[in-house]
Amino acid sequence: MINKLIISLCFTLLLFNSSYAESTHKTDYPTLNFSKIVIPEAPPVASVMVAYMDIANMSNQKQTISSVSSEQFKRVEIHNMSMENDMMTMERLASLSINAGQTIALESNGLHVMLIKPNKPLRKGDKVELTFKLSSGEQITVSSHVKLINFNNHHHHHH
Amino acid sequence: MTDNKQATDRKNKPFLLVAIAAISILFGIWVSTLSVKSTATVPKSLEATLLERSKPVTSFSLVDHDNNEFNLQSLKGNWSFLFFGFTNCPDVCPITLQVMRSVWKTPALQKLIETNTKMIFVSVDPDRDKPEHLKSYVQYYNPKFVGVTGKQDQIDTLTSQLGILYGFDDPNENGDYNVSHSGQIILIDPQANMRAVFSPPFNPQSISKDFLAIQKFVKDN
Repeated sequence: MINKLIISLCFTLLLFNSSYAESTHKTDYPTLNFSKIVIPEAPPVASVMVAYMDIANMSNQKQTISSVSSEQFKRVEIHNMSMENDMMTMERLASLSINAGQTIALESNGLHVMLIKPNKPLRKGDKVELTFKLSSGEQITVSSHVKLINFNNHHHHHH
Repeated sequence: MTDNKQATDRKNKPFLLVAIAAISILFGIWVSTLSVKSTATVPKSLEATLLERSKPVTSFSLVDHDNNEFNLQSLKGNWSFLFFGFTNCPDVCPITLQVMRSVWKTPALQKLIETNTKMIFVSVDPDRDKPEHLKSYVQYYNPKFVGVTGKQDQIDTLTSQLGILYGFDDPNENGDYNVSHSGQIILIDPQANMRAVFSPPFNPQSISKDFLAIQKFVKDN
């Protein structure tokens, strides 16, 4: 009887521990690190904006971003630009995977985060929060302020 | 009488020949200096592609952002930078318009801009880009920029002449659709001839420099 009790207790503690570990998962070790976030100001009537950034996988496992959301926008998607038949075209990505130790750059003419239908027009200095949901269940929220891009100081990565 | 005439003719003939030869030589030298001058002013080291032969734009019928007719006549009398895109474009179109905004601030271009140069953004997506919306969009970048759109077949009439391609993707579950399009900027001269093509990635300094060189070359020839 006592044994059964102890075993049940152990199982309960184990379950509790693993769920506890899940919620502290993101503070135990960093997975994705977001840097150089740039959200250029767009015309107030524009129904789309864009976010560029670097995403570094600091962990030792592949991480996959399965969705992105923002309170400031109706929808957020990840797109990849490419040239096809002499035309620039975009493709929506269902997910974005980053290998362990790898950093990917989301930049003009390539991968970018598309911010669709702002709830109100955003101007220079306005704060935007983006929540990246990983396939692991982890959620990472980052923020940036809308910037007015003066082309002469907009740094591109050119490959 | 005849003898005298023949004698006179025989005497004058060598002078005449020398005169003709001299004039021909002088004329030849003058013509050759002309052609040396023309080839010397063809702008070298352009990043833009200057067409070997300018191509006259032919008739088309669109509307500008004030709902006024925008046609071949609208291209005459000024230099025009033409860029084709759509306002639901997150990356390429805003970047290009930002570049052109910088070009429009270039000190060396101010005189040309004030007198006879226009920046025209043609939306190939008239379903979503109505003139009023287009006006707010382009004027955000510069109040002098012009938005143009119209019926799809007339847009095609213009794009096909300039080597610009575009296409519509299927709408997704939200009704959103992407428009693929060429990224070049086309330069049209005041006689409505296609003169040059600027290809991405764009740089405001090189666009300004090339435009100055091209318009000078066209003016001098």
